[in-house]
Amino acid sequence: MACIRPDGTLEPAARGVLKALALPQTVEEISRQLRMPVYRVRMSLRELSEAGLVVGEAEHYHATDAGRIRLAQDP
Amino acid sequence: MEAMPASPVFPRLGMPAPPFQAETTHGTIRLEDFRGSWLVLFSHPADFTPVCTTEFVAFAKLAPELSRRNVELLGLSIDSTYAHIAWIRNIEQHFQVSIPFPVIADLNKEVATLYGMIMPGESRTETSRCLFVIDPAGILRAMIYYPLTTGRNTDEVLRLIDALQTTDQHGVATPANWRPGERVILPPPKTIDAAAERTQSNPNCVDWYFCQASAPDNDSATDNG
Repeated sequence: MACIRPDGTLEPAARGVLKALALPQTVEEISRQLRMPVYRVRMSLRELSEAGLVVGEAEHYHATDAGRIRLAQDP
Repeated sequence: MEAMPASPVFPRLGMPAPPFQAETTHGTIRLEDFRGSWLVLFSHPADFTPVCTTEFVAFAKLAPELSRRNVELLGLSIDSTYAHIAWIRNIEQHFQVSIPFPVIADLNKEVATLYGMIMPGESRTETSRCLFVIDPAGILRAMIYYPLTTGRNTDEVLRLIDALQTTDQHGVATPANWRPGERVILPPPKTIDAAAERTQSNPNCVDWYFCQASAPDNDSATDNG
């Protein structure tokens, strides 16, 4: 699913991924934790990264400050 | 009239599957998103047609078994996402089956062209029933092409997946009509010395090139790939 709605709010899958990234995680770890197929995790991470809400470093992803703020605004 | 390429391009078994990015009913998908999982990419001629509807119902019912084998499904037709959404909702209404997998809306025929899905002898505007099995490393492992008129057998798709995963796990081949639990085939020796050693050491050989082994001791329905 497209992760970020036109009004800027997050789809449930995107919210779940962002919450999971309170600590750095790999794609596989997120997939296992959320019981979400790996391809959907990657789709979500791509959109969240493009929106500046998530950043990836050496296979691990974590929420940015902007991501944490967005999550607080859209729990 | 739209021109078709003089020499249609087809992907090759054993080579990386052609990469793509496409709009789907689940959002924008790239082929690389499926790395680490097996993928069954399959095309159908058109939404809101009867044979295609039976196939979607069959693939939806197969999805849980595929998921247990670390296999994802990805559909495709030359229809819009709006048509896909309407058709999926119609299937749910009339057949009480939820379609869990994404479906590519390939209106510009980009993916269909990359994968040789359009057969001008059948239709220039619809894909034929093409199916591609791509492994977790992104390598194309099998292709099945069916005509517009004939719905596919999803039992065969599952059998094919089990066979490929058994091959990868145990380094064996599978004979005609093989089912999990049945004897497998050892790859034939490639040298004179290996052929001599094979017939001496293996009682299950009809001849140096034809040797079988007992069914591998694996549960192909658990994590594979």
